[in-house]
Amino acid sequence: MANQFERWHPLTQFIYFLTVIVIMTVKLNPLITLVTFFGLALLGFLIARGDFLKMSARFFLPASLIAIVINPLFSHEGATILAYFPDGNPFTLESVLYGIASGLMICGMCFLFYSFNTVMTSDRIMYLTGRLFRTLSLIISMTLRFIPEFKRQLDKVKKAHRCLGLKQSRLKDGIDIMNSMIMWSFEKSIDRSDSMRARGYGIRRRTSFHIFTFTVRDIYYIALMLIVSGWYLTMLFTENIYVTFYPLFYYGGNLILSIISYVLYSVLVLLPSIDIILEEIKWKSLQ
Amino acid sequence: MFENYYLISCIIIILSFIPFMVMLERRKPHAREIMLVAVLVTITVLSRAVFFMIPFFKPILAFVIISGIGLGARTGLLVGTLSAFISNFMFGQGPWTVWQMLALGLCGFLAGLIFSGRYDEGKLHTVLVCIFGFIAAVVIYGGIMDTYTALLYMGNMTKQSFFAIYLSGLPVNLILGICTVLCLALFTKSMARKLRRVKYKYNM
Amino acid sequence: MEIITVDNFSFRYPDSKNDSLNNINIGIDEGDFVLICGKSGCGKTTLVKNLKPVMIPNGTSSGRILYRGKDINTLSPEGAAINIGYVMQDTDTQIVTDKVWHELAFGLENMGLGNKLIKRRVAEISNYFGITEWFDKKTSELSGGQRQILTLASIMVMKPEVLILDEPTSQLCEVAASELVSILKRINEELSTTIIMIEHRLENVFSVADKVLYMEAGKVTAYGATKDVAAIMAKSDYIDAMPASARIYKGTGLHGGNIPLNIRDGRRYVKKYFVSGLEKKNFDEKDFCTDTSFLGKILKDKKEKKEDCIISLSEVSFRYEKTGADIISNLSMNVRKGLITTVVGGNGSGKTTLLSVMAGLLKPYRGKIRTEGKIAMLPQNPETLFSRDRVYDELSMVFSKENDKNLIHRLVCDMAEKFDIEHCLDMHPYDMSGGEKQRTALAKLLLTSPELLLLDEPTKGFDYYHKKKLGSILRNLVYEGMTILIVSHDTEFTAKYSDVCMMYFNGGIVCRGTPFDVFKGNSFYTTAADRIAGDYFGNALTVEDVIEECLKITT
Repeated sequence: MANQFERWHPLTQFIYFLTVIVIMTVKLNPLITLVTFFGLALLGFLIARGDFLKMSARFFLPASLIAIVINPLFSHEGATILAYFPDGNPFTLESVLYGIASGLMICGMCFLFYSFNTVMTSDRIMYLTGRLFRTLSLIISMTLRFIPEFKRQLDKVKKAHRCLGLKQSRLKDGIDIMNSMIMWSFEKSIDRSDSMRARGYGIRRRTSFHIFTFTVRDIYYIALMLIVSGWYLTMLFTENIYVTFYPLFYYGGNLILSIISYVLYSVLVLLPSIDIILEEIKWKSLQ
Repeated sequence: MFENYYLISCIIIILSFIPFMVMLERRKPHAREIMLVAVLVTITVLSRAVFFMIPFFKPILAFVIISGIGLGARTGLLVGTLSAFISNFMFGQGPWTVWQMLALGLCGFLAGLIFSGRYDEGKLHTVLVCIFGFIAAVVIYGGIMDTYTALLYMGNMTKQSFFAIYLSGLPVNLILGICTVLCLALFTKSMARKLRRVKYKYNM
Repeated sequence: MEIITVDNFSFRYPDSKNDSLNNINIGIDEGDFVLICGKSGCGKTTLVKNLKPVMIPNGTSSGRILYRGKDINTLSPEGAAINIGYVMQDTDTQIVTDKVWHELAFGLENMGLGNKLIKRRVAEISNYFGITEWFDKKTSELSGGQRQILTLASIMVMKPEVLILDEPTSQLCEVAASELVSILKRINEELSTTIIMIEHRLENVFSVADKVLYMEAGKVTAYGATKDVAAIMAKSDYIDAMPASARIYKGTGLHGGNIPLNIRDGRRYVKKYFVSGLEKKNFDEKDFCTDTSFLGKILKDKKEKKEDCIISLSEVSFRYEKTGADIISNLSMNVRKGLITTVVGGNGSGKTTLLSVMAGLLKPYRGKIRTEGKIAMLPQNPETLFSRDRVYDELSMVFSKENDKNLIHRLVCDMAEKFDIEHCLDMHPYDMSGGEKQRTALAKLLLTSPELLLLDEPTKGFDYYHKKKLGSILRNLVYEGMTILIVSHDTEFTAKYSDVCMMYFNGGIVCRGTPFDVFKGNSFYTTAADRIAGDYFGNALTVEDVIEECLKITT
């Protein structure tokens, strides 16, 4: 059940995740964090529905709660003192605000990696690494091929070992099984490298084959994402967008340019979600 | 300008990997060499699954160190970084991926740097390896991962907050240290024997 | 024109005193389908490895091997990689990457071809081999047959002129094996690829090969057209490893000039020379279970005493997942003490699961299992039992360290002697041959002193000579009081060595009896000898039986 986002070219997908994570973490900005939080929550929900909600409730939200609690406990900066800790350190409004913002950011990051792990399957990541680092991508491919085989053999070895019925500790069982697996992996690898050489590995500089197609749409998307992130970073560096938490929480800079930046960023974050939703509407209207 | 050092440090880590990767591509490694790396990464990544019946037993770091010892610093680095990367394929990538790659890669690299010469001469002392393993687990791996936690969770860092995070991470790091020492004591010699046999069979 | 010429070629491994290949002289024409056979250790694999430059083993050689008139060692690396394809025995180890499409492209990537060209070649080859349906799959999700086809396709995609295969069917079931052979035939006929193949399962391949090379102890005994060489092989002691029809032909005195090599020709042969006047017997229901021997009668007895059985299953059901289908359903069976019992059944029918349930590795969700004594199980792959670097340690690890060292040493050595692996005690387990590995695993299991031995497909991938050795070892064990249960789909082995036979189908036991009872009524699932002459001779099941009956007629 692939959705429209999963049909993007791997490079486009990667640039999406990259631009979002850079803008989100380059500077803690409550508005950006909010947009990211809701935008990625929508994306996660569109991609995986129930599973995403379950994961959020179980792991992502608690993780961000920790951040919200931790910050005021350790950070005592800020001018607006709300109360004092028993050890005499101040409990400030600014540190609470900062904690909430960074908690939201961590949660947004969890959402981002959730989508990333669902969408960027191993062959997509390998395609990306393979463009630049061919040997590396081949090693990853080989490892991913061995892992299921190793697991299958491990299951067999465990059974065979249990059947021997030796009376020894679990640790000793583990050692025997591990030794058996190491021996087996090494021995099989000898044949395997013969098979690679038999098919001409190492004679010439390898190319890296892939089955992805780069479409015009991908060019538009990438251009859009790069322009938006470039715009935002420029605004940030020229201090047209300006946020500080300490000593006082302060929002400043050029109001109009800031608003334009936030709107543009919202479009960037929502881009895959919009694509998925438009596609669903189209299908429904076609039927 | 930035209070959040997380992004910058990630970028620095990623940039620091690049020379090694370029070196790997330039070298055009032999089929047997990359096969051995792939096999070692598989063993490392799945070592936890072998000992699944023993709680808290994490042999990953130990096998990265052994790989470094047996095949040198470069391979140790490669096995370390790839093991972190690929085990996250199975459990999900996250903001920690890059840091784990750095931590494991560095441990493998140092193990190779310190011990691979002795290994080649056949003068490997398991006790020394174990001591190194403990330090690697508690100081290098634990230290890097705790720094990651601190950077991600706290924008403005104070000595206090850093100290608090390291202290709270200490029990976990100590468990990892003990596991690593135990694994190294159990597997260094036998793995060395097996690697020697493979190298002989490979004509390496 | 000869594509490969082997000219006075000899080869010797570094630590060996004798030549592994001795003065080989053969010429292979373009488009030939050459079958290489001979006993294990006769130098087959060494010969074909020398035909593929990167596979040439360490050792010293003399003489020359020419590829299209040029010394094979002077070929460019690209030329050798592309033109000579090599398929090894074990399919699992030859697949390098994780996706089917990547595996197909692997060789072309190595040649540095561009994406467009690779895409085209990969598309072409997928169509030819019918891979398109599982093109996007992971290689770990494929069946054994699909893997073998993928291995073949990932070599054929490089468009080799010569394809070398080393026992490609040894790990496959019957159906997948004959499918593979027919694909090879198609490659040979449609693409005129020269095929050189080592094989010991001869039933399928004799009919497709143009030429046969028969080797004995590193020398070429015969090389030429299939029928001619087969006739020479029939006269040598390799006859035992040949198809049932050829063995009947030899045993009955080689009538006529043509050696029958498949069941159809074997039937014609028997009919023509021995039973021309006899009526074909039609079996009806009454004729089932006609074994009147002592054992046959006992097995028909419905009531079995508990103390006669070592393990009894009553209405056992098992499935892997709650929502999945039952692998074993309401199965009841008794295994009698002191006998060899064989459970026969098709591939993938869940026989291995049944063994695991009996060994207590899997828990059934319904039914009762009553066992007496310790059970040991020999897995299909004996390597799963190995965890030490030396065979001696492998065997002695069974004992705890408190035991007396000398006692352990004696027990291990006795066991090694019994299984003919004394010469391996100092070796690394993986340096042994397949048969030695299996015997070592068996010895290790027996050191734990079990009372019931379970064997999972013990004959898979082995040639006649090893099967014979295994069979006599098993009979000896039973003689000493062991009970053995085998699951297998090797009908010949079952007919020859087991006392009791059960047919397993669809999660249950369909019938039980002596092998004679169970096979005699079948026409598909029975021994080759029975298919050749079974319906003429009421009590012939093995090749020896048929020969005996034939000779009775002539005298």
